[in-house]
Amino acid sequence: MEQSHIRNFSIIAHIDHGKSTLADRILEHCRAVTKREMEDQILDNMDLERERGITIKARAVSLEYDAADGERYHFNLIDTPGHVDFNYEVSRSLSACEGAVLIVDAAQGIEAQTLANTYLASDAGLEILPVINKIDLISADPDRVKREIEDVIGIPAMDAPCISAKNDINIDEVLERIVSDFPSPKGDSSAPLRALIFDSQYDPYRGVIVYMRIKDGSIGKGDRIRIMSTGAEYDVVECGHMHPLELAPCDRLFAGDVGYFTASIKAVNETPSGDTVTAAARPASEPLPGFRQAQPMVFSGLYTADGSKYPDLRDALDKLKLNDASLTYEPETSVALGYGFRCGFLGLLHMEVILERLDREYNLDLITTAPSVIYRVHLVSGEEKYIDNPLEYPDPNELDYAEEPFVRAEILVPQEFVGNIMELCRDRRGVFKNMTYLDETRVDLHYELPLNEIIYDFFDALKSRTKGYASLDYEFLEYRRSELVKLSILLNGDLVDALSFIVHADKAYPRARRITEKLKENIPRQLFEIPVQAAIGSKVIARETVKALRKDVLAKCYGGDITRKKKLLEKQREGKKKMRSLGTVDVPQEAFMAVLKFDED
Amino acid sequence: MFFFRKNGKRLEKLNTRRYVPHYQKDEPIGIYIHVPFCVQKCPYCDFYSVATGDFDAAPLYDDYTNAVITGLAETASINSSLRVDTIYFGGGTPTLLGGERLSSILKYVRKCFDVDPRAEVTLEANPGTLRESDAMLLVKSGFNRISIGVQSFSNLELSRLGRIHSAETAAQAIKLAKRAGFSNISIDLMYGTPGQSMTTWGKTLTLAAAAGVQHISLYSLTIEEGTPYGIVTPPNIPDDDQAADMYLNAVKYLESNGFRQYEISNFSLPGRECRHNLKYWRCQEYLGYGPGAHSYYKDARYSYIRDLAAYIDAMKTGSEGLIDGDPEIIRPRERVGEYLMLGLRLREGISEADYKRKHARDFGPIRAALLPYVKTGHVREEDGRFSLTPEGFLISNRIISDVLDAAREEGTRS
Repeated sequence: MEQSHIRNFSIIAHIDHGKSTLADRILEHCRAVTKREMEDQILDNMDLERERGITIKARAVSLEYDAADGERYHFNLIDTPGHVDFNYEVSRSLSACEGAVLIVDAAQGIEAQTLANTYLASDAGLEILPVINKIDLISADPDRVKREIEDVIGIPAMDAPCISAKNDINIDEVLERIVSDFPSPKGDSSAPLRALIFDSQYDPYRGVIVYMRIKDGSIGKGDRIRIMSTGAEYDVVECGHMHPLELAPCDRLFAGDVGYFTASIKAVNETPSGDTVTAAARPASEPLPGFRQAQPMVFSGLYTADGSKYPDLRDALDKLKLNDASLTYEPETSVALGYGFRCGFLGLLHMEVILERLDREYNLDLITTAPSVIYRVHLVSGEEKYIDNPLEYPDPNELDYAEEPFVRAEILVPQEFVGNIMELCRDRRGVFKNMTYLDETRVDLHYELPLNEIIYDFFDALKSRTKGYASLDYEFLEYRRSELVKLSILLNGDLVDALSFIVHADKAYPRARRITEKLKENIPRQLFEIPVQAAIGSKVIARETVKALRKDVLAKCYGGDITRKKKLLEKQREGKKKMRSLGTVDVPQEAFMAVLKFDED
Repeated sequence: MFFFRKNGKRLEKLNTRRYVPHYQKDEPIGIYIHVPFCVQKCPYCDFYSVATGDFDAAPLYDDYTNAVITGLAETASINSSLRVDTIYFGGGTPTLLGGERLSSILKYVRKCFDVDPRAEVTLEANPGTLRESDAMLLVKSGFNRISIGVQSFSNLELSRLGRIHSAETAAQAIKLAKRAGFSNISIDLMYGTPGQSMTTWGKTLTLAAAAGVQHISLYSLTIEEGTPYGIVTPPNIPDDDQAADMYLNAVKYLESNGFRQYEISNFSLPGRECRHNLKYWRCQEYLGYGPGAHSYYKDARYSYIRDLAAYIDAMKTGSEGLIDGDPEIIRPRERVGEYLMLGLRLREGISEADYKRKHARDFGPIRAALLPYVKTGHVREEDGRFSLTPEGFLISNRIISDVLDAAREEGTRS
């Protein structure tokens, strides 16, 4: 295929603006799949993604499009994840393209992730084609949205296609514009190989399937290739294009094309996204720009509710890791919870997705400790340390000062909610930077916020204070000096290490109070009275008491219904089994969860 | 389909609808008649009953009576020599049926079974529906025990519980029962009810102890799923600590007035324990009739569907589907659990000797599970028997769970 007939593009959008639906329509219009084969939103092929309506991992597909000019074009559509946790992955996918279709909801207009993704696309030098979707909604106002795109983003939008992906309106216009507006790739097929890895996927039969965009040179079966960041070399077993329903092998792929290869690679962390593949025999002198290792931002301890299931958790994490290079974990031990793993995640959504997969696909009943960010602590000794686990936080007398990560956050919100959001951000120790009006009704707020304050439930709080209208995007900014303390929790006088967490000094008291209250509510009464204490160092700053159990009885036992009594008792015993014994106290999982969600009220 | 087994051998294939016994242990059994009618449903109650206060239910009562009689006759047609020494009409509100129908059912029980002349024959009664003429007829036809649902002697509490009667009516009902010739009278009381206080509860207890009855049952208000109270829980329900104090006060007060506690919720003058209810707790056999009635017979527990119309219809036409779900077969291990669970509800408790003799198991783990509670005063050990103290009864679920866990571990080892 001539480079002039190739179009490599992504679709970018705020969540729920119709990205996956448009992808489906494009596939249909290119007759890549029949209606019958078309499962809804075929590019999202994890169950979880479909349920949550988000794309977690990028996927790509090659299509043939017969354009109005009578020519046949080769489209490579690269799907991108749509959430802030996966910014880096989005930017890698975009780097594989020349163009981006920017979908904006005709009713909602620009949202935070519309902007964030557009910036990423324009940073990657992409041609951007705005498309107004959902024009058949009663509340659609395409002209307003077009103006907004021009005013806020600064790209021409008056001739943007107005479509309904859901109801298949004007899809051909989008396809024609992809041909006419997006540049074809320019690469030198005779130069040394440089291919950008933008995703990879583990397949138990073939090993890792590496998705890549060939910038220069070519790749074919039998070639010996090298991963530039690691220097590891492999022999290509197979290469080809991705069709929607299967992989289509071919002999060689050339500059400008998007495709895959397999080379008996054992795990996806050997082929990190953003890395460059070159030929071992004639290596490129420089890798493609922009590569970095995905950095986990949020850490949490994972423990199985049933301590004996620890090996199952290890196996499950090993398997997830095969397909998720950004997941990190190492063994950790807690006095309270036994053996578990300290896991690192890109963000809270990433964490939720992993937890849900562990629950759903591996049937593991987990206890998670409060998520933590990475603190940078400076010790009196002059040593500098990164701490991602409250257990390792230094004693106050060893600590010179501590720093915590801040993020730059962009929040788009209808004007009437600005007050609510400012209050929320102030409450979360946010630093206001500026505020711009997108139009008469919508405001773009810039804040600098401690990451620690937004990893728990900031997004939920944002949504609930704005009737769901606010949207958020954030990126890491810098470490800043901060007054932090480690809050320890004691049950019946025993320190429960798994419940400790690090908090800003100003918030220690209210948080200590709330956490002890929550624990009191969630720890069932036991035969003896249980003091619940929160302490900084040896100083107790909050205390509640779980009173001793006095009444737990099935009163009626007449009419002869013994079976039901047995069932009730059995249910109760099951509940007891789900509790963890922390020293002398039995604590249900809900208590741990309650501690995680202490900001909800 | 379902089989009876004896000594591990299959004895007889049975039609699941006609779950009729054919074999008897040496002990006489109990007969339970569930009368599923109430003037109106109480908002906390989850026993099966149909409210009949709004229409002329006489034809329905007749159909029901015939259905029960058909059931009894069926049992008799398979085994006419079953020995019976307790009969219990529960509900619902059995008194709604009227003396005639109740007497005819009782007569039929006598006809179908070998009923001990000294059998205990109990009738549950709602104070608001007990008529003197009926009561006299009932005594004449052989009812010798009456259990009156007094619940409280506070009118405020009664109305908040949705009861149809007043405290005065309740007191009169007790007198009426006595006049009619009942010499074995029980009353039910409830604690932990909306608006109740230690003071009002104390007053109810005083009046109860002085009412000249032989038996008192105390029930803690339990919020059951699917009842109106389960959907909207009323305000001012005493908390667990207050309810626990009410219970302990009651135990003390009743004991000091001659009412011995013989089960978690039951107190009686000496020799006036409810023999029928004791069968439940001593794992003895009983056969139930009527929709929603439970039976335990020959290693099987089963109940009839909670559907009056379907029950009547099934009895008329002989159709399938009378049993609710599948009968639960009580295998030896399960029987051990039931012995422990039910035995610990009783003041007589459980004993090492019984345990070894009846179940051939090592009592060691059971003892080990109970000992911590002996130390905390929740369990007492005397003469080789372990039983729960009043404080222990209050947390009996916890104690019984621990004991069952111990038994289960023992079971998996052996």
